Amino acid sequence: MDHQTAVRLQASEKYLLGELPPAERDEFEEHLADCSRCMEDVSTFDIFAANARSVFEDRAAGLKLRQASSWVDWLRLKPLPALAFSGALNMAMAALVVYGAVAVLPRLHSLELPGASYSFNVRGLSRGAIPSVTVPPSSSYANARVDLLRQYQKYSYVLERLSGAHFRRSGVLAAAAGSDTLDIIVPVAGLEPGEYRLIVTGSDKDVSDEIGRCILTILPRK
Amino acid sequence: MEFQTFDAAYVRRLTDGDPATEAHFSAYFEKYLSMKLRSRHIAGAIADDVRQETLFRVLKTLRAGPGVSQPERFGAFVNSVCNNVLLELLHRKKRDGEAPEEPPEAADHRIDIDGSLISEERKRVVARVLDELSAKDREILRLVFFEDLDRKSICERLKVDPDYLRVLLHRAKARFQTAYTKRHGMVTHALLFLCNVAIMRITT
Repeated sequence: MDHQTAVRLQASEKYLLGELPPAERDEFEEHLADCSRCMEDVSTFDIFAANARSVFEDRAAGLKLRQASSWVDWLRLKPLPALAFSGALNMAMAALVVYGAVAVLPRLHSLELPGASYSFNVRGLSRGAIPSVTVPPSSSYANARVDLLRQYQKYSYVLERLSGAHFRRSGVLAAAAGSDTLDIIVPVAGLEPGEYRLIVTGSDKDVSDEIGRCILTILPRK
Repeated sequence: MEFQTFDAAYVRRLTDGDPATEAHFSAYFEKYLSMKLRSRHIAGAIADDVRQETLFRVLKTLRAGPGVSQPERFGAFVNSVCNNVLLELLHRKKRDGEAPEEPPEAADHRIDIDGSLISEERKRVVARVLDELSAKDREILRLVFFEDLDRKSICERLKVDPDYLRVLLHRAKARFQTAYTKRHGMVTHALLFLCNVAIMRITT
């Protein structure tokens, strides 16, 4: 086989593809060993084929790897859902901050400032009807004074709204040792207008007595 | 490596043991024999044995035997020696009952066979050439090289002419050759430039 015949037969391509019949293959190999041009051609084909095979193998392996880590790809390759999720979180946080600044902070702030106090006495249940007290709109605090017939180890209170939106607060009170009165200062500036019930309890180890109760009416502020 | 057209002077230098010619002979025919053996799916230790035995016999024939009658067909002579070595191997295997009809085939040793040809730089160039092809052409080459499907199946599946497949291969190879040569040329020029700068700095 001479070079012209090899070119005409596309022998290099056929040789690489394994398409040459054995007799032609042997003829071409004989020619190939002495023909620098065909040798270069087949050598380049060979290099191209080997590296193309390796590239396709790498890509197939990469595809498998991507399928295995699909949840990571979900975040990486499709940023829109991740962005939307992050945006929603940010908006929720911003709304929280705005609510705090507009609704909560002024109330907290009002508690820190000095203000007018409305004082009244709270009687125990055994001492007659439940007193009802109307706190003037100008008052920031209601000061409920309970007469202590005896000393208890612990005092606590419950303040709850009787109508409208649910509101209930409770806590422990500290009384000065030896004092015969207990002062409960209720910050009313932050309370919604309406009727509230205040119950004061004194308790020892085994005994728990209601020592005072009253109805507070908070008027709307002007 | 440069490709060679053989002549009497080359064969004489090789016979006389000229180191540069010996080095060329070894590199050139190692490559040729590797391609030949690869086309027959012969790899690994057997391929090494065939290559070494062929080169050894050629040198022995030149130095201790009758030499070659047609120095300009020295390549064909090496090829015939290799064919003899392969035939002997086949007969020996047949006698030992290992391989009755065909030379040993390495069905799952494609990576071993290709190993010496693959490099990261070549892969990068090939990947670029593949990416420049149309999706259909790329798929054809994937079926040829990766899936190793027979040509008839590929042509039927993708509705292409067998000639088109060869043309596509030829085109892809030519692009690879151009890109690789260009890249290599740039690297070589850069290295030469750096060498020249270094030499100038040393000499001045």
